[in-house]
Amino acid sequence: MKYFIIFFILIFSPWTYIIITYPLPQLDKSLWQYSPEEIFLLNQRRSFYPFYGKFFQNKLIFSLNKIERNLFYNLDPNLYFFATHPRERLKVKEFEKFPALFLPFFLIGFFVFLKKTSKKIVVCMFLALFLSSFLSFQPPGPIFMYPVITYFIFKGIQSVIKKLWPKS
Amino acid sequence: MAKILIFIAIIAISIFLRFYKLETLPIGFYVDEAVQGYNAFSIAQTGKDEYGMAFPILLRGLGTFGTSLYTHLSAMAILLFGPTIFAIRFWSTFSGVAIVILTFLITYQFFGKNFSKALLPTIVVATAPWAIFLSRGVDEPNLGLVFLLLGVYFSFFSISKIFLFPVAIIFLAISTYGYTAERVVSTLFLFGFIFIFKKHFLHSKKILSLSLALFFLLLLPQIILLFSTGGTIRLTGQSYFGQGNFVREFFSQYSAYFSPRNLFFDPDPDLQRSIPDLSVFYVWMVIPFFIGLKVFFTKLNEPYIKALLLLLLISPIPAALTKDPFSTFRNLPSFWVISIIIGFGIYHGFSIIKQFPVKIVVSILIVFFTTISLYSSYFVLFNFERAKNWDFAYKELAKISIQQKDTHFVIETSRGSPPHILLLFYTLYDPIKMQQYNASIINNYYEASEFSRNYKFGNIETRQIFWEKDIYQEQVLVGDPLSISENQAKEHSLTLQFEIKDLRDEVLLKGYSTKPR
Repeated sequence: MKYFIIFFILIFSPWTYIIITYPLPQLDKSLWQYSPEEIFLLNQRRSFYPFYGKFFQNKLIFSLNKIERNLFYNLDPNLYFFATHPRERLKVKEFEKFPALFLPFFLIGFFVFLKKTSKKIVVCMFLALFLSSFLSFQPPGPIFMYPVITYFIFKGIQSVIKKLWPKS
Repeated sequence: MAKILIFIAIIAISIFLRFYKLETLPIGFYVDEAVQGYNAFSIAQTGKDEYGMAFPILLRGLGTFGTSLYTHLSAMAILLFGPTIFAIRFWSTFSGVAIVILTFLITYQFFGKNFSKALLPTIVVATAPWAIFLSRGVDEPNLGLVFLLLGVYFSFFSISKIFLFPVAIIFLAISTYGYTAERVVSTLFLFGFIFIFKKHFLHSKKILSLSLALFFLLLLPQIILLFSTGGTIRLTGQSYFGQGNFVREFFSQYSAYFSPRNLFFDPDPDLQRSIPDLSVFYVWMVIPFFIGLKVFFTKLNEPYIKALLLLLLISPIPAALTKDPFSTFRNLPSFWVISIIIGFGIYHGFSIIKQFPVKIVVSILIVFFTTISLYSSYFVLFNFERAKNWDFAYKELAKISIQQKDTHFVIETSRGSPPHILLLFYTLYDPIKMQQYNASIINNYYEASEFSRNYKFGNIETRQIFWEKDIYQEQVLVGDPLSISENQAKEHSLTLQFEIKDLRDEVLLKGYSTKPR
């Protein structure tokens, strides 16, 4: 039964086809590259501080900020279920990675996970987040997170089935 | 004794973070603040608002019909402190400190009477960006949240002392006069709370019935106004009803209020409502947030936890019904609950760490990064990068108009905030004259929703510039660089009189004198 559910989730997820057809992800070079606008902003901001402006505004902090940006964008549930709506990103082609109908099951699965945390899943999550923060795979997005999302959806569906049909 | 001193220290820190340089940080005075300010000034002087309405239930202002409790309290603050920016911001700032104290009282009293466990959520609220930012401006949601939390506090107390339930009702009802969203949040919380503790309330049906009747009675003025244009304009004006898939839009907006991206990384997209590079919580708080969520969900059977989660889940509903993506203003109760979750997460996170030196190092790092983030983003970048969004230029413009009393100023209004209310406040224009000017509105106060940006008072006129007429009258034309470009100035033989710049030397407003022949 559980394999049928996983198969069902995979078949109805738009990203499955994309993963099969697109090339492999690459290191996100923009983490260490700065546009002229960013350089201008960096220099301008340094002049705002009464002392040690370089301590507060420097390229390292800019790069760390970009890594944080990738990490938190990958933690946004709307990225997966609502094509990042209502905060769509500029110059990014957004699309739903999973049908919005799976969101309640994802939430149930996540809460079940919180109640009874599995160390294996925590390690997988951290690994997926880490890789997704440094690797770029456009337009499919953070593909390393998709198995994690699928797992939570699966656990949610399983919990609902157990609740509705306890003997199955 | 040590515990009292620690508590006092936290309150002192929260007072400092909220009151320090309140008059000049934020650097400007936003148009919505000026609406409160001028109407409070008008009420303090004449007992009526700028339109001549005595004790309005909803404040017409710029045609948005917000709640009026803040305005009436600010009138008292003006009598105490004078008509200053400090006086107008006072109640929001005071509410911010009150929220910190209430956080401690609620978490201490109802979650184990553990001082350390209650202290951590208190520290989070005292230092969180959302709490500091929204305490340092005229923010009615802050006032609404104080009364909502007083309602929550007495609701919790009423479980052991049922006679306190009507007190809770009174505060919940008052909160709906503090901020518009609380009409929904307080009402849903009340009924949800009764449902969670239904076994308790079924033993006290008389008090329950009387309390509900009291709640209805206190809300009656607002219920009556629901049948007027003013009573519903905030919903109809800002919602997406009838535009596309309502269900999908609602759930996408609703889930955005729980997204770690919006809570810990991306600031509010409205530049006037956010701090540069700082979201509603600090980045590092995402870790205790998930730990705290785990703690909450493993204790879901505890009724007070259920009540807090109820508040967390209902708070984003009014915000999610509007078009604004992640509007921080409308979601304060949810942020407050999340602060408690984070506080509990920090408590449990530290309990996992066994070595005391490691706890000290982690604590030092947290304090260091928090201080650096707050100092850099709020106390430095904010004034430089957001002066324009806080209508900084109009204070200087008002000074110029006062110095040049015999000069007629025409201020371009098609872009940016309606400037008239800012200038009315800064010049402390006679409220009686303004009430006479607005006399046509008073008989239709709650129905006349149309709002005109054109005003004429003293030596100031706010309207669109008519190039075919205005250059032939002796006056000063004021606008931003897009409204009056250098080419236009050259073409119409205008002479530059003044430029008003922000801290980055970016020109915000220019004043040109005409040369009629």
